[in-house]
Order: sequence, then structure tokens, then C-alpha cells
Amino acid sequence: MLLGASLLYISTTNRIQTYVKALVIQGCLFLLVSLLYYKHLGLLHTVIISLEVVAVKIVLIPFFLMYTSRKLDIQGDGESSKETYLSVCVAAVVMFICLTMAVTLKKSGSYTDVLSLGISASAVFIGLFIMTTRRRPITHVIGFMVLVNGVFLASLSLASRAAFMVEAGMLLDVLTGGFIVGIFFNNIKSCLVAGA
Amino acid sequence: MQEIALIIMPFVLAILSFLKKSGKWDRTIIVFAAAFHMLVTLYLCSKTSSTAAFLGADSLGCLFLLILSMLFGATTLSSAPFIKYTELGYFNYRYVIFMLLLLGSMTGVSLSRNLGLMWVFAVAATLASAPLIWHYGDRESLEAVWKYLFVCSVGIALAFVGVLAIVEAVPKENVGVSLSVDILANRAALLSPQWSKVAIAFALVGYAAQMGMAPLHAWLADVHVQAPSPVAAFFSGAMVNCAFLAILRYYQIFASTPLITVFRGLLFLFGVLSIFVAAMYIIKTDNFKSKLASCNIQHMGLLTVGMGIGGSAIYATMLYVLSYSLAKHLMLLTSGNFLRAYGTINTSEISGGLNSMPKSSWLLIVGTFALVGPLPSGNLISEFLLFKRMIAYPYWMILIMTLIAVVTYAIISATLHITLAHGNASVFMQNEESLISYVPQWVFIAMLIMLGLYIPRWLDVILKGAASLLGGV
Repeated sequence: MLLGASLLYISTTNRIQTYVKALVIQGCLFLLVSLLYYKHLGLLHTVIISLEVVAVKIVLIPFFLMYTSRKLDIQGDGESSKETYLSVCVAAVVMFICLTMAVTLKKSGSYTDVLSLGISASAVFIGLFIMTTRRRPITHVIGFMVLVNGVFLASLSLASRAAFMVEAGMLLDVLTGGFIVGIFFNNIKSCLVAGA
Repeated sequence: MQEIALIIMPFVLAILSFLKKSGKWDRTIIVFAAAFHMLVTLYLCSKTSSTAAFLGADSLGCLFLLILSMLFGATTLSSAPFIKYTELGYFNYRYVIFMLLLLGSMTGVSLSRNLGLMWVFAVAATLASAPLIWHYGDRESLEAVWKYLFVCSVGIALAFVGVLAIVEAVPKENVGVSLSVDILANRAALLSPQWSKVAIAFALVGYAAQMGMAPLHAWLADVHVQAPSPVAAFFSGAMVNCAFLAILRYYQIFASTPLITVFRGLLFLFGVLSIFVAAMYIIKTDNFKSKLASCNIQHMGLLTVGMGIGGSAIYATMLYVLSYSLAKHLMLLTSGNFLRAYGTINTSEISGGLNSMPKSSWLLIVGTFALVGPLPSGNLISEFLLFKRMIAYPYWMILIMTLIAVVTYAIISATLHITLAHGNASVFMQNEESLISYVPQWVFIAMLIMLGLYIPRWLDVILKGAASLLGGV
């Protein structure tokens, strides 16, 4: 539920700093969820996943995002309040549809609980929504992070059946890292500022 | 064992290339990798394995491995100038290292018989290919690689949801979940239909992004234009095929279940949309490589239409995958010859190629006719077989044929303009037609014509085996 709330929080903003804060909150929640899944994951998997969550989702990616936005002097995405309002409405509708679909899928025999399934699907679609509606590439990366977090939650929910899938899902963070390091080292200011 | 060696060898050679102090050995390393890959591939194709939990070369894997190996061989020869430039210190990273990493990852995709492992190799291939697209290190190539990584990463993430949905689809009684394609195909009837539909949808959309199919094709033209010609050629032939193979693995799982009708319907729609987009895009663009990218989109569209029809069209699709990959590869390599000579590949800026570059011009003309059909080749035969099966859907057939005619017209007229037209010829920068710049392409043309006249028995066995795995006849 807290993850769901953080998704709505992300939809309300257009400032990079707030986006990053929301991502850190999501990272902390993932750490908590990983520890709660200790029984299903086992000690080794729990340690690996927790370390990855702390290192990548809570520290590295938010740090690089903030550093890059400051270095390139990008404060926000420049959305109007009307657009922000529309984003929240869309996020709420997406969440409602995803939760309804999760209930339907649960009836057809799903292992994951309705809330996890609905929230992870919401995160995937809200991430896609952020990517397609925001202007700047740095916000696109944040949208991709939201999408990846949704996929990560879905893989955590299936930990009891296939713990290795959680670690495979972590590879997506490597891809995100590739993006951000790409911006960081190559300083593609022209692309980022112009929103090409 | 051979499968593991085939995957690990390029990675080992990449490390070797990274560790050595000078660039002198790069050419030897990449030639060794190509020869080793081809030899082991031929060995694996001679004894296809029936079942495997993780890695194994069945008929389908063998077909794609064979294509990969042939294309890498031709790319290796054409890469000589890039390796030379790297040796001279023009580029700040190693071309050979990433080519080898890409080869290893794509070999992994071709040999994977496990959905999870295949996805991991697809991620590795995406990461390995990015520095190759950014070879020239300029702003345009940076934007191209950004677009490519972005669209493909979203595709990869969605494809992962497809894998998760398959885990969900496995019945509750099965405590340990196997993602082995063979096991899943045998137990496909037991999979939850709702979750299977979710898996099909996400896997299709995810891997379609990597294939460059409409509406997720935005990166394809940029990559074709900005990447060095050998990389673009390798990409266009091998990389998109790997994504197609990933879709085919899902198709294989559901081939004998009622869900295959849903899968076919989606493939057919994706295919028609791609052909439509290709026909619209090819008219707008002036860049010859972009036109070839449109051909690529049309090709992928026709492949998925073939799989969408099913039945005997599957054999035709398998033949089409092979022949079209060779044709696209040779065309992109040849367009690279013109780019090096003229400094541009915009159709309107090049003319009179037959006088200035006769060898490459003849190659371009013959290659174009092999690519789009009129020349008796594997393409012509496979398209004929596809349309023969498509007679059952006359309206769709007319629509698809019309759109393909638009693509054919655009590519032929561009080729004729480049080679035959007399106009304001652009500044000719250098007249260099080395043997290496056209020999691999003529070999491919010979192979294409051979495929049109006679398919060797061993190849026919592989094609039929692949079609049979996918429920074709």
C-alpha cells in the first residue's frame, strides 16, 4: 500500500528532487519487503538482494540522478499544474484498473496476492506513462526506474516459487545504471536539456 | 559441452583482446573467433539435440546459430578498416572487444532452451551492442545509442514480465518451476490460460521492441544510419533475429494449445502494422540506410505475418529468415562502400555510381534485386511460398502485396538513382574498392541464388525441423 502511495506521489510532481526522493522511499520499502520475504528467499538470496537494493536503488542511482540534474542545472520537467493534475488522475485510474485485473487473475489461480500484483502492474504502467508524457530524457530514466521497480516487486512476489528470478530482475537495474552512467560520463547536456 | 565452449570462447577472446597491450592481435583474434564459431556451429548442426534444460542446439536454434555464424564471418572481413583505425588510435575503445561480447551474448540467445537464461543473454546483448553503435562518438551516434538503449530496455523489462507471467502460469501442484522451453511445451496444456495470455502479450511486445517492429521501431533507422556499416549489417541480420527467436520460443511453448490462435492473431496484426509503417516511412526518407531500415521493418513484419498464418507458412518463414538475413547484410555492407567513398549515403546526393564505383554499383543492383525479390533467390521462393499460403486471406494478401510493392519500388528507384542517374554528382572523396569490400557480398549473393534453385538436404532437414517444432508442416 505504501508503494502504491509512493506511485501516486511520483505522479503529483514535476521536480527532479521529488522524483528522486520518491525513488529512495521506494528503495527503502523494497528493502523491507526483501527482508519480509526471508522465509521464501533463504539467507543467501536475502543478503544478495538486500545489498543490491541498498547499493543500487537507495544509494547509487538516486545519487547519480541528483548529481547529474545539479550538474546540468535541470530542476524539473516544466509541466503545468493542469498537466500534473491530469497525471494524478491517470495514475489513479491505472491503479484502479490494475487492481481490478489482479482480482480477476487471482480468481484464475495466481500465487501472488492481489495487492502485490496490482501495485506491481500499476508501477509498470505508471512508469510507461511517465516515460511517454514527460519531456526530458532524465525524467524518462526516472520513469524507467519506476517501471523496473514494478517488475522487481512482481519478481519478489514470486520469490517462493522462483527465487532466482529476483536476481535476474536485478539485471534491469544494471541497464538503468548503464543509462545514468552514460549521461554522467558523456555529459549529453544538449540532449537532456533540449528534451530531444 | 560444445554449446558452453561456443558461448564462452568469444568472452574469453574479448578478455584477451582487452588485456593485450597493442592492437596488433585484434584481427587475428576476431578471425579466430569467426572460424571457431563457424566450425563448432557446423558440428552442432550436424547433431541437433532433442531436449535440454538450459543450453542445446535444436533445429530452431541451429538455424539461427548458422545465420549468426555466417553473418559474423562476413562482418569480420568487413571490419578490417575499423580494426585498422582502432590500431591507429582513432577510437578510444576497442571495437573487437564489444563485437566478441555481442557474438557471445547472441550465441547464448540462440542456444538457450530456457526462457530465463535467454532473457539474461538478451540483456547482455543489449549492453554489449550499445558501445558499437556509439563507435564514432559524435552527438548523432550518442542520440542513436540513447534511443536504442531506451526503447530496448523498456522492451527487455516488459519481456521479463512475460517470463514472470510464465512462472505464474505453472500449476500450483508443481512446486519447482522450470523455465525450460521443452518442459513447458510438453506441459503447455496445464498452464493457466489467463496467465499464458499475459505472458504472450508481454513477451511479444517486449521482444518486438528489440526486433524493431512498429510501433516500437523508432531506434532502428537511427542505428542503421549512425552505426558503422559492418555493425549495422550485423545488427540488422543477427540482433533482430535473436529477438525473433525469443518470440518463437514462446510460440513453440503454445504451438499445440488453443492459445496459439490468440498468439497468431497478435503476430499477424503486428506484422501488418509493421509492413504498413515500413511502406510509409521508406517514401519519406532520403537516406539509403534508412530505406534499408524500412526494408528491415517490412521484413520483420512479413516474418510475423508468416508465423501468424501458421501451417505451411512456417517453413516459408524459416527459409525467409535465412535468405533475407543474408540479403540485408550484403546490402548494408555495400551501402557502407558508398558511404566511405562519397561521405554521404543520401540518395539525392549520390549519382553515377556505375562510373565511379562499378564493382560496388553492380553489387548494389544485384543485391537489391535479390533483396526485394525479382532475382531467383531464397527470398523469391520463400515469399512465393508465403503468398501461396496467404491466398486463404485474399484481402489481407492484396493489402500486404500492395504495401510490399511500395517498399520494392522505393528501394529499386533509390538504387538506380545511386548507380545509373546522371546529375549533380557529389564530391567524390576516395576511389577505394578493395577486394574485401565486395567479396563477402558476392558470396552471399551466390548463396541466395543457390537457395532459390536448390536447398541442400542438410539445410532442408534443419528448416523442416525448425518448422515442425513450431507446429508447422
